[in-house]
Amino acid sequence: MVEAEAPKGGDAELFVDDLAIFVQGRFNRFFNPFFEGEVAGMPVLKENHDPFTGRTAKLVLERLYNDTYLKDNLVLRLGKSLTTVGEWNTIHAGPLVPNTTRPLTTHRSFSEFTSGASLIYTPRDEAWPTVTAYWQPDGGLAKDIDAIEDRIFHNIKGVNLSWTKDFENTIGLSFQTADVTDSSESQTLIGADAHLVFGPVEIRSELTQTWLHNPKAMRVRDSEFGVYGQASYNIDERWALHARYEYFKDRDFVNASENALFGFSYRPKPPVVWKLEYVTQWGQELDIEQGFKASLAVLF
Amino acid sequence: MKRVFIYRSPARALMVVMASLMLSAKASAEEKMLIIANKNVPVEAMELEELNRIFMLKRQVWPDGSPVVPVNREASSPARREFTEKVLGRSMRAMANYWNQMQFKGFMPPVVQESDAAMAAFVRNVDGAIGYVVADKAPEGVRILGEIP
Repeated sequence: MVEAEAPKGGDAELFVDDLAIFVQGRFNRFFNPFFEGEVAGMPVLKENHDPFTGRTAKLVLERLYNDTYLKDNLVLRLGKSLTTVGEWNTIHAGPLVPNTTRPLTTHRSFSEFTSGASLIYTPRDEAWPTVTAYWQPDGGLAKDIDAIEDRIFHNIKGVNLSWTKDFENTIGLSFQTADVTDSSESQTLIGADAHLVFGPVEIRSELTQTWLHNPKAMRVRDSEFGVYGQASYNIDERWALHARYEYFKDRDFVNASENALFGFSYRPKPPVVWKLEYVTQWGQELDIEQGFKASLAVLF
Repeated sequence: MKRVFIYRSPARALMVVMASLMLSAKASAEEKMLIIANKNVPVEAMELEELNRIFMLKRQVWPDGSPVVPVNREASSPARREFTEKVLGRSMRAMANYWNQMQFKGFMPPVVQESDAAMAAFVRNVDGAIGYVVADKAPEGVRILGEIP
């Protein structure tokens, strides 16, 4: 994904992000490996900076796991994979999500990755949900470069239920407990997410509520809450308009953070998408900067 | 050597053209969309609902535990358009988006082969492979699991 940012009061920047390579094999019911490595944050140009200095690209082991088909519809996944909390985290690649700017709710309250074991059950009947249960007994298989300080987790246990209706409509429920590494702090998270299609209109939403147990003294509160709602209008198969509002009350800051986004996307082919959006934010500034963002994302 | 026939009589030329059209209509009427699979797959027949599950990546292994390898035609192929409409019941674009998402989730989308001959050869040679061809007779070396009406 090539990304351009022009934050209000900051330097405009052009960089390559999430340049990923996938290697996947299907050999037999026991050995079906999947690997994803990526180059993240590779600088190209930055306003007021020499083109050859500034941010340094990072090599990241995103995913490395093996799938074993215990039954036709029951998979045991061992290794590092994406945590199944909400749709956005499980398909977060640029060409698959509607905006360049990721909602805080989709990543700030939990570990984006789980290194351990997952069981994935896909029912034959659409009335029943796809169930993913996972457990990370210890630390992560590789360091998560986007992890927030004091939010490195271990002993992660969770379950996600995801109902799909008529192929496109999804409703998910998540539950997770985790211990914060190097502390006596732990947390319990519940979440709900929805992706509903009404003709040309698509509604996406996610909500997470987290409770902290034995919170560190530095925490402002013993809970965290986030919710966002997004409406997209698909003008045709290629062009879409997007509007989003998000409210996030972080565990470490007194004031809540709010942001709103307006933008459009152009998808000439399913794996290629151009996006342009304007984000405004008020209250506590967290990961989201006010200003324009544009990106070109391609899935090869 | 390529032969070129020149008809001096317009009436005769018209008759020949009509006869050719009738023959071609008869040939296409005999062509069917066949569900083909590798000879080692442990099933003898396939219902459309089950075929749908395979191409939606909801069925990953055959009853004996070996991997299912769905095979599709290229996006511009009329056969793929017909298959998508009749078996998957979605637009080509919606399916492409769906498979992109599933690939990111770790489920391998169907392999693409760019002709009926390539499809038949792939299915013949790869264990667990299942696909479709438009043909008036079964390709050699594959198992026919059914016909798509």
